[in-house]
Amino acid sequence: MINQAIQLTNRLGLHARAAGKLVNITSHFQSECWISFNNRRVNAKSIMGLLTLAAPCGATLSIELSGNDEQAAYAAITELIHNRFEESE
Amino acid sequence: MLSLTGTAVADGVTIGTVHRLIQDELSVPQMTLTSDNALDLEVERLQLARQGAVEQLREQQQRIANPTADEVLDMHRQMLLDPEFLEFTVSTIRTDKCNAEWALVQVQTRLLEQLNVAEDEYLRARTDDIEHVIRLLHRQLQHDDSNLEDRLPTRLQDIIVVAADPSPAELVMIKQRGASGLVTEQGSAYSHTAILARGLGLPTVLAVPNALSLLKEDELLILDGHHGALFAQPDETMQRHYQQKTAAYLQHLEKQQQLHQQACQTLDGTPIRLLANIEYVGDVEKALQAGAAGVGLLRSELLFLQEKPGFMDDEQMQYECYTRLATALHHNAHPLPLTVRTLDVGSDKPLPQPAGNIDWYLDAEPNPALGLRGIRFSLRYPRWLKIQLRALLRASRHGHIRILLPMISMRDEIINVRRLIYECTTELNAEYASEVKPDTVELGIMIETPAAALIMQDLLPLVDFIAVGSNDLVQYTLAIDRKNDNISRWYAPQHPAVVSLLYNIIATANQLEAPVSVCGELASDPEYIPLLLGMGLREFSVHPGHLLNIKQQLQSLDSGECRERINALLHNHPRPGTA
Repeated sequence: MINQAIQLTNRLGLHARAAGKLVNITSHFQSECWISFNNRRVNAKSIMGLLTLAAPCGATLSIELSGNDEQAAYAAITELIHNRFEESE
Repeated sequence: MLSLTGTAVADGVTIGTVHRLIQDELSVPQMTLTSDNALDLEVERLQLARQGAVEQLREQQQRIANPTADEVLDMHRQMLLDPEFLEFTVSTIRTDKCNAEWALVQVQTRLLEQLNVAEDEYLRARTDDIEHVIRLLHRQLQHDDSNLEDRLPTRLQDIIVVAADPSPAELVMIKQRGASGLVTEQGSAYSHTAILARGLGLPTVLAVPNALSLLKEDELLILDGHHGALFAQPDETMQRHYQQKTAAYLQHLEKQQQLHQQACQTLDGTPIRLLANIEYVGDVEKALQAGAAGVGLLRSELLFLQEKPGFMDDEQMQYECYTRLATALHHNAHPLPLTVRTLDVGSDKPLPQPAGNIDWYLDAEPNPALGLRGIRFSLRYPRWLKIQLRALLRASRHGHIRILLPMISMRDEIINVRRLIYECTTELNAEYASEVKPDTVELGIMIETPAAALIMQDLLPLVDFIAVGSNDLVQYTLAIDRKNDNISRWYAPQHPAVVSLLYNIIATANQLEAPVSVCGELASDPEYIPLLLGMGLREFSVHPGHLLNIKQQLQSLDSGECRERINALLHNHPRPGTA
């Protein structure tokens, strides 16, 4: 079980295309993955759920992972967020 | 002639004939099913439709091969594949005992309810995405024989397509078939249709009410993507006007291109160096594209905020980052300066995570603007400054790195940093033999306190260059916080105190032959540029987006005239201090 906080630093926050990229990653792992922000907790494999978080730039998300590949999943998620979702700005 | 307006989303002007894309209303049957068998069949239909829609998007992505289209269609694919969305729809089929189509209608209503209450305009625009995705499913479920692929003419050259609310998938198809423009009845500037139209470079006007009934098939239409304007059946004058406008737009683009290649100088031929202020690693590319002669200011605290946690404590990570930047900053194999301002925290600038909670270090200062910020913080907690200096010194062999110190107000601060640099170089030379050449890294200071401005002659011998931070200098000189609404209207860089102080800084630096640049907002203020030029400033450091405009303005200014203007101004207000 992993439970970590991580800050969004890309300019637009967790907007739709960023959420799409995140789901692209989470759905490749077996582990269950939940993300909470602002008292809402959603399945990180559901793009529609992630969108309803409306998390802006600077938001701190808490990420919960549990499953066999939770470490690898966590590493991949943090890399995406730290690379600012590979956005050009 | 009929003129209509809508939302301008994608630049460009085009003239073409109208093709109206009329989609049949989706008929959504509602059925009540009694047997479990029938319900199983509906779930299966839903899953098949989902596969079909996903496949359709994938094919389009491959065909158009455009990065924006890729992202948007990918996102729609994710929505189709969303496990919760599927589960929700399947359970609706089973509990409401209805057909797949009707279940989708229920699910759509629920999802839209959730998003429509959002305060965020961007988020509300996502309702479009949900509608578009669910429409794809409906069309698959009904084996729609009125598939857009078949109904859309194969060649759309010189045709402007008018549609109700095309989805990104449909937009891609329209662009692919060569349409010259697009008009829609619905959609917002934040919609993915808008983002995609820009990404594909398709002149588009969105949200034109009743466009489908007002515009007639095959009539001539002018589409002005800059202003969101449409003119149907334009008369000859209008046509000529727009032909000229299109030509002027192309000319403008060409002129920007030329400007790019010209040397940067004033009307009388005085050469000016334009540098870029950057915040992100990605800005280097933009700076170079806009023709910057280097980076005049990299705000490292912003870099720290964006990089991985621990960046602030990790010399190797910083070394790699500075190396990447310095390596990228070359022009014809010639290194361009990369000016890195050391960590500038305090006041309104937070300390990057996870180095800690700033409150711990700066516990509730009563007056943070006059508190432990910039170099004061760095010298109080030299651990981080040393890590940064070591990383910069090591990276310096990959390019032309300059170190810039923020918030300097006295000689001792510079001397202390010089000592630290000496210490770092000695250590590094022992650790890495040939990696660092200590004397090649230039050290500069920000002039942003009146104190520093007034003792320039004492400070300059200790440094290699100076950069004027005009935002803070104005705030400290006038004792006005421009973010304070009660007094912000008196935040006036034209105040004689500011003008004479700036004059003093630039004149003293020029006199002592120290390179001086201005890197605050004044350097990109069209009204202030002539004043700075008149004061003798020859280096401006600005946001990459301003570079070409400033270059253009400088080409029209005469440095002699600007000097006279300044002299006349100062004649009424004698300048202070030491110069």
